[in-house]
Amino acid sequence: MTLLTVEDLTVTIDTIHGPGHAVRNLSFELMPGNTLGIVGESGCGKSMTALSILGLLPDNVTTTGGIYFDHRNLLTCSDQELCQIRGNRISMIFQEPMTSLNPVHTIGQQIIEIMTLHQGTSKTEAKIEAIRLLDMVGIRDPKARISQYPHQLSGGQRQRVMIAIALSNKPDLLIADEPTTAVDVTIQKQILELIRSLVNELGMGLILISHDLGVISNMVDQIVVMYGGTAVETGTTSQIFSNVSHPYTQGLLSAIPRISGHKSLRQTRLNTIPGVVPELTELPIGCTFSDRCAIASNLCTKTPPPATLINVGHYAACHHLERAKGK
Amino acid sequence: MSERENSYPTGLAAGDAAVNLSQKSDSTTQRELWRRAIHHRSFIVGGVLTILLVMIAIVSLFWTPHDPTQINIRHRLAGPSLEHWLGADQFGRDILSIIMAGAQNSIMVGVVAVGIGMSFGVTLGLIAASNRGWVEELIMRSCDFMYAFPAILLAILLVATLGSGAINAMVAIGIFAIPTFARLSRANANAIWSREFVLAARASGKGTAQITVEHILPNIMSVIVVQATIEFALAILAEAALSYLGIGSQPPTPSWGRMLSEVQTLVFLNPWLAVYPGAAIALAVLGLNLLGDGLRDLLDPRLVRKR
Amino acid sequence: MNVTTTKTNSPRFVLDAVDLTKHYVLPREKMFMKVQTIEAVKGISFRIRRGRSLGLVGESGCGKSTLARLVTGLEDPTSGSVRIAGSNIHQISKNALRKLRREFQIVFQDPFGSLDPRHTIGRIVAEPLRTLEQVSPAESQKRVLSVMEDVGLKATDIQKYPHEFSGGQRQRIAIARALITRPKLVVADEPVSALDVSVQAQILNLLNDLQQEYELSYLLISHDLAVVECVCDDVAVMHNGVFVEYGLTSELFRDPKHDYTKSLLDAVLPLPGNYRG
Repeated sequence: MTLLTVEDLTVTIDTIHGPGHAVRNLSFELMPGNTLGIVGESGCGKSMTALSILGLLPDNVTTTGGIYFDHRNLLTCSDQELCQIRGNRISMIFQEPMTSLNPVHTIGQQIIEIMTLHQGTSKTEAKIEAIRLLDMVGIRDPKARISQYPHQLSGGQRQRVMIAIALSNKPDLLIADEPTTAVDVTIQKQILELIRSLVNELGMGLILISHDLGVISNMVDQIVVMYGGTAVETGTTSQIFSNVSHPYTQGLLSAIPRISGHKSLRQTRLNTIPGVVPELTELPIGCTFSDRCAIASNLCTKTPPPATLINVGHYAACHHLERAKGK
Repeated sequence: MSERENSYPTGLAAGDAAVNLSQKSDSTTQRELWRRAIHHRSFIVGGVLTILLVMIAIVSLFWTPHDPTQINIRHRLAGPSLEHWLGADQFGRDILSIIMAGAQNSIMVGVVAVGIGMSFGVTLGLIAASNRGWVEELIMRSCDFMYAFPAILLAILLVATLGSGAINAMVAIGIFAIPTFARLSRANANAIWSREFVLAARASGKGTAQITVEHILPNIMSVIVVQATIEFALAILAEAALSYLGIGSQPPTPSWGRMLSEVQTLVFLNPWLAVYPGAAIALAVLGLNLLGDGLRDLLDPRLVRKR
Repeated sequence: MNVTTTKTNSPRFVLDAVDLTKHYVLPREKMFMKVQTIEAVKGISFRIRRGRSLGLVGESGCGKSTLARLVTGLEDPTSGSVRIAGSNIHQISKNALRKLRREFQIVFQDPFGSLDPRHTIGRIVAEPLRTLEQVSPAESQKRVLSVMEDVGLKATDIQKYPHEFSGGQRQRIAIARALITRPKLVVADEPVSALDVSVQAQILNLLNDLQQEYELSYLLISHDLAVVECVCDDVAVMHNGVFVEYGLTSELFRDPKHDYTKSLLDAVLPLPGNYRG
């Protein structure tokens, strides 16, 4: 019994320059208690995917396909039904905690209102629960903090507050959209550890979105690699890293500078993917990666590649996987 | 090093993520802007009304149905007819002609007032923004001081000292537009000063004055332009008030405001006498406000696409 | 901490900072409260030899950006001195400083904000040339085109505006602008943080190539240790306004001595199996 099934999701943005294909035919499944990462660079459609799950996309966007949660297709749910799910059964945390928290409400108010909204808890009960949650996310002296305002907390603390708010109604699924991009690397480690421990403890599903392969590979069991709105490679973390199949994923991995501590890396050039990510309104007709791919053929520019099976649960969308393997 | 350059850095200003739309940039952006413009209701309605106002004023320079100052007692308080489309006032003057000629007055007021307000106000605001410290304090407190007093009252005072007359009234109104432009320019200039490309300009060795002219001013122009349309409307209203009080333009110069005061006693005899100038003022002000609204939406830098 | 880079065959130091300190006075919160000061930089000294690069790592609030501004003359230090190519930048005349700015330039973090949206690329790149040197328009054009080619931009890009380019391309423009006066030192403040991984790799390669070709020195500021290792010979770790550790990049990352350095390295999330591609 899956927790969330995304089937053939297509998100199109209506722009002055024509339709922007933010997401095309995306499909994946998440089991209860499992973790999934969506990784890709800017413009790949990962944030759009997350927002479409909760119906938070702007008005000039059309979505087709299915997002199945709890026997319902979230894309066809009414706004009212979605409101009952948001913050309650599915929660989301965002990248910028300063702008995600209301600067004129206290921390306590913001946690309490979520609980009273969805569970109808009384204010006093909610307050006790809020203190417990703040403690759970590692905020010291929660009783004092509860009446403080967001600007009185550090970036890392605000992100913890966001997590507390997201978990206050014990959701079945947590979506985290670049939760640590705006914080320092030492804080990032703490926040990610916190998320992982809470997810395990509460048995929630987790969808983690990031551009950082390091973050993703250390946090989730399943990965979906996106480029230009399509999933180019999907599989478990160990499958993908032990057998990188898609040319884009390969290029991405070899472009990451890494700390070696062995010799001066100044002499070594990083492998780069030539070119730039195309505009969403100007995506190639066939494979979205075809104009930057070293092994692209005529077929690639004309026909979108199907998801080819490499191993159980490991797929890559490429016409020339054999050639890619050889590289 | 000036105060500006040594204050505690507050980080990237909001809006660094978005890019300012350059109206003078490549043709696709201009076409985009134009396309958005013609679909924007406020802009179109406001634009049409404003153009109408300007055209009437221009036309009236060369032709009006009758001489607006020509008295013709025989036609005193006549109703609308073929000869007098909107009728005649208590002296037999053709109302339509007066309304048309009055537009000249209104436009002049707007131009003079906004001209004075903008040139001095924006300059002061830019100086304040580039010289934090006592210079800024001095300029801003002076503006606060001016704001604290009711403008019309002080305009009256000024005019009473300098003498009545259209020009004096316009100058007085212009003077009171200065603080508005100064505050607006300073606030926006401050935001631009904290942007990274200004830091880059300083790192290239450019001086404050050069940066103000080459980088700050072009980037605040869109906001200033919007404010100018609004001040234009306010100037028209202010002049109408002053003329109504008898200290703006003097007879026989046609003026909408003075028309209203002249017909005060007659309004029960013929209410239309008040409606015409009143409507003219209202439509002019409405048109300019809508134009300003439209411009603000169209030039809003946050609505530009980000790569 | 007094530190020196160690290339042996260069005669001069491109940058020589001695005992730099910067205090900021915060605006008063209460009328009668004592004014509070923030000590952003506390007595830092270091030197960079020509042709070598120093990386500066630290987290937000450690003072690295302040240090960058002190070193480039954008702010005055509370005490201490900065010598570039021998001259103390805070004590020479305005004119002399202007001339000296040809020798050092800055590349900023935000590719969207560091270019004036209302100027063409040609004008932006030529800016330092215009301000700091007297060259004829023809010569200026030639140099603009030459430096744009060096960074991988096309000659036809001269007429375009910043918003027509992607983040990575804008960073190239910023780098071109920094190089046009043929400086000896380029201070790069988080030059690749705002870029995607694949673009980041292109820019890092570019920085390396330019360094070799023009015998440039970088003062590269980054929170990303791997980026620093890619481009810099030496690295200084900054925390709370001081250098807590300093040394050769390869050595320091292999064998960190200070606790803070260790915690930074510890926080870096490794890819599975230390994937090497």
